[in-house]
Amino acid sequence: MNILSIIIFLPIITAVILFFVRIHVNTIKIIYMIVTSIIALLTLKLYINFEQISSMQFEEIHRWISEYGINYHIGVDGVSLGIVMMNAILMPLVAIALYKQRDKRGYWINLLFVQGGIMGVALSLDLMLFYLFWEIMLLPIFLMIGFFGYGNKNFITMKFNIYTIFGSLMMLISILYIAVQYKIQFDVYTFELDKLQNLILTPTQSILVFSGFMIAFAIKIPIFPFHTWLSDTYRSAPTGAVIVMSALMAKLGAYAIWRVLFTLLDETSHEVAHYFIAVGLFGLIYFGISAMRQTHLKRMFALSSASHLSLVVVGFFIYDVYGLIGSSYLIVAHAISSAALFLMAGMLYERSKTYDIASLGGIATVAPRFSLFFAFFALSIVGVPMTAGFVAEVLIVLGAFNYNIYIGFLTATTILIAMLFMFKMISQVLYGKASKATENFEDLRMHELIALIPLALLVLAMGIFPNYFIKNIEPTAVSYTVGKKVFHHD
Amino acid sequence: MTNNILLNILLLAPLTSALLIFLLNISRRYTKQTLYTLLALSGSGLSAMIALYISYTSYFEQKLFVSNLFTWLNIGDFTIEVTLKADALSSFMLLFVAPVSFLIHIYATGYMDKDKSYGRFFTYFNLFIFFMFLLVLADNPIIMFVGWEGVGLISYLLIGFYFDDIQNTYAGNKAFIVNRVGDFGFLSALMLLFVEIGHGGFSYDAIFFNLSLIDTPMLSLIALLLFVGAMGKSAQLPLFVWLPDAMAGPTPVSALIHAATMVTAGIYMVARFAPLYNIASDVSLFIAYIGGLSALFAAIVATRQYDIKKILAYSTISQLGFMFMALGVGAYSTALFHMFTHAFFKGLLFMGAGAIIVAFGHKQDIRELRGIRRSVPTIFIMMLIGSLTISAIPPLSAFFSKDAIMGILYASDHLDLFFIALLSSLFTVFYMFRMIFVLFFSENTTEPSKNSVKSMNYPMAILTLLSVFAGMLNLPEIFGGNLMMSSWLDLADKHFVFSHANEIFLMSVNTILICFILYYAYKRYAYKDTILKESTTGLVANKFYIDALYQLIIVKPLYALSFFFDRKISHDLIDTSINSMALNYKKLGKLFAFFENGNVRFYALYMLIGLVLGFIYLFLLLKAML
Repeated sequence: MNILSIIIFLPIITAVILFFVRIHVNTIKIIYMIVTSIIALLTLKLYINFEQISSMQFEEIHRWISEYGINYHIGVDGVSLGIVMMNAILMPLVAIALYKQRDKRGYWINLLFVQGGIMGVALSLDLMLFYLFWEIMLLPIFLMIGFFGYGNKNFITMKFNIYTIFGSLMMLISILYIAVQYKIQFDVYTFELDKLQNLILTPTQSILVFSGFMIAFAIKIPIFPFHTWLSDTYRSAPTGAVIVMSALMAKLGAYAIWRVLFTLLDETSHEVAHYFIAVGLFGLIYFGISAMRQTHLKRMFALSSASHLSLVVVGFFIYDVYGLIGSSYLIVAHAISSAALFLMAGMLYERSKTYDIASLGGIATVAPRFSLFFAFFALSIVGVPMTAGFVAEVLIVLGAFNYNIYIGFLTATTILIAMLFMFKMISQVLYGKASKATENFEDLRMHELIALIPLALLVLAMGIFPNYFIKNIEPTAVSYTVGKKVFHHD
Repeated sequence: MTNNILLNILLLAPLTSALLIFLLNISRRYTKQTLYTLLALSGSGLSAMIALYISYTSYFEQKLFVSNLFTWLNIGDFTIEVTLKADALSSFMLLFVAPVSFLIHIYATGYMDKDKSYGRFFTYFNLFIFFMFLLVLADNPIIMFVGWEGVGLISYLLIGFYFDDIQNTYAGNKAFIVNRVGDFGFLSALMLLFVEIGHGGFSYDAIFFNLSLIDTPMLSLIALLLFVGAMGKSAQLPLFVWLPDAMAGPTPVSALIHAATMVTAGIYMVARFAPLYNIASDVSLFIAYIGGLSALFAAIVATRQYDIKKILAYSTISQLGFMFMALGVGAYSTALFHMFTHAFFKGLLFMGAGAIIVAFGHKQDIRELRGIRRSVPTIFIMMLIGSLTISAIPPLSAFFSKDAIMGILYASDHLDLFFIALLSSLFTVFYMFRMIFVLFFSENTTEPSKNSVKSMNYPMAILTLLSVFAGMLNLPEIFGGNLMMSSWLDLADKHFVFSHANEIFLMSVNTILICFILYYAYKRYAYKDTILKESTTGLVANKFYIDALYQLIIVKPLYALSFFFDRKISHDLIDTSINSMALNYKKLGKLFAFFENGNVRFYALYMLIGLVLGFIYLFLLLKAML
């Protein structure tokens, strides 16, 4: 069996089995750790064997519903590699950090399930399969917020779910539509991404298909104005779900733009690019400024996350090799930093029983290690040099200046936006006099350190030696800019 | 080969000691303060020795040190190598950055003695030297930018060092944010530069080689944006607001980062890009005027400050303004020379201020520290020498460096700039000696709580000597020198014709005016309580209301906008309309629920209606067929 299939299905199958057998939650945690560690090791092997070329690697294809040309087709390239790696690295670390807090079986089963779903989305090369995994990864999050969330969780999880399913339906319509069009033109059904590229659509058709896909992706990312589910959902979601959503699922939305739209509707994407650059830039500034007045820590991080994802969208639609690489790099960099920050926000809540920024403070005095990591990850979001975010932002800004000088200046505001709220938040949470909530704040425990140190080291390594990591993305990114442009000029 | 290793050790020694101190500190095991001291001093001391060797060989043998570390990024044309290169300019920077850092490290071991965050302090301090070296030694502007942002980050951490008081950390935030506004310009400039000529490589040499390929407007834009970066880092108008607040940090930080080294990075950057600024002469002139305005503005504001460190902070802004004036008219090495002497005398003055602050139980207001000459005689002498130096009294070092700037401004036909400089220099004398006379020549009001520490006095003594004699390095011709430093640096200086008679005349007039102001300050402040009678209202005492203005036109509108976006647009407009969609579905559902109510009578009725409609349809269909 192919390594990629194991990566996708091992967690899913384990989760399903665990769902049906009644065993103690501690056993489930152990099984969770074993499975996610195996996945992490397998992806490490994948990373080592990964060749720095632009084409798909480790491909696997089986006929599935041959009547309609639906195949089980998976493969990995430079862009999906980053997401696969992040998913594999984060899941065991999250579990290490949280294992004492969560004693519900469902929590861990759902997390396992969602890991498989995310792997599936990132690796699918067949649109039907892609859609299937896209829906599969939603379900566990829905359940997790509903069962383990905070506040007005039932309303919020329903809203999130309906919102997302609405987007997915639009995508399904688009998928079916192009499959039918393919049947008309080539007399056979197919959902294969690389075959569907040959489809010839009229401009109106392409715009419609594009919009169908884009609504689904825009909601998932989210970009303005599809963001109103975001801050409430992040606020209500339990830590594990928030990490999955912000660090992985939101990134999948951006990734899908590249994987699906840039592959299928390259020309249309080029044509509408400037709208999305505008929306992305607006979102970058809009979300950043919105975050300034937030008093709830997780809401602030949610908006901060949205702001950076808008930047990722800008980087993609600039269609420049620097922008594409920068955005792919930012996807990974931001995944680590935001996962760590949400994780630490969870720890903060567990200790102080509050997410209210104003009632925190003085943590640096009582918990220096916690403060060190918290400040480090917050600063890495701001993009200080020697962190991964800095490299990514420099590349995106470079791409933007390559595209157009005014877009360049607007994109360069990214180095100003995040600090508008981040620094004040750091001051209010960590510094000053200890408040009632933080008097007895316990410093990081050993297992939490074990979870956070690898993330911090990875952020530093990606910031100091970016060339080593970027070499894996570069060939794919180049093939999407240089090659395609030449192709169009012919 | 050995040269590479030397440069690498120079850079990595402070990093290593920072890491070790950090690990010791974070492990929370009991560590003796001596161990921290040893580590911190060995890191900075080693690099200081190497730096001296490098500048020595660079000066006498014109040797170039290059060390190629690794490739940072390599995408298409965008190739950024992490290469350290100590050419004349970089060696010159090393010549004062490394030894001054080392001296201030020694001083800090005394100042921070028995502080509970001793380890944390020296982690940051050593890390600062690392980033400063990276800034100075980088062979391309991207890596320089990494160092540039790095020193800013450490500055942020050190300003908010005493984080128990949240206001200190706000001062740090302000410093970082204002600096980043400058960095926005810097980064944009670099990106534009890359878009224009990046294909030819991005090391300084390659950039300057290809400069002619850029059209003039674009070149001016790049030059201007680069200077915006310098404005932020070197605290010039209008981005100076962070520096006075930055005095919230411990005094060694003010001495090292906010006087001697980091704030001069802007000067270094403009001097580094001298070939660019020589072409973009309009921007250069703009720089000169910004420098002039800053020099005058800060000098005026300093005359009404009472916090001993804030007086010195405004003084730093003012002196940096002098340097920018010189850079603006194209006299790069003259500006660098003043930066060189400034590092010594300003470092000295800050250390003196720190020693006073420690000795008198952390009082900083000169109104509370009057008449302390007898309590701290050594500090008095050294502070007096420092003040005489900054006032440009011959033959102290700043006399040579500042008069060189004045002379050049005069010779370059920018008489307005010259008068601004002259005026600022007179204000400098006034505010410095206002401070000196109030501190040392008044009725004694306080007693010291602690005697000064030896480790604080020795570095100050060395800096005093350097302040006195550093001027020898670049003696002008009329004093028998031959501008050795300028010829070593070999920058693209513009040369101005300036007769010796004029030069001597200028110097004499200047010195006489200075002595006059000195006398005036003596009359006004010495053994009097004029200082207590000064009103704290008015334009000058309120720093021309610039902080309040920024609060009003930038900070408040941003928060208002934040409220508008988050509340009005996101919540009221978008979210409410989306929720109302769901609500309307619910209403529609209620409507249908009225019909689907489970009563058989209703369903019978529907069947009847259905049947009737069906028959009508059939009837019509048959009719149509017939």
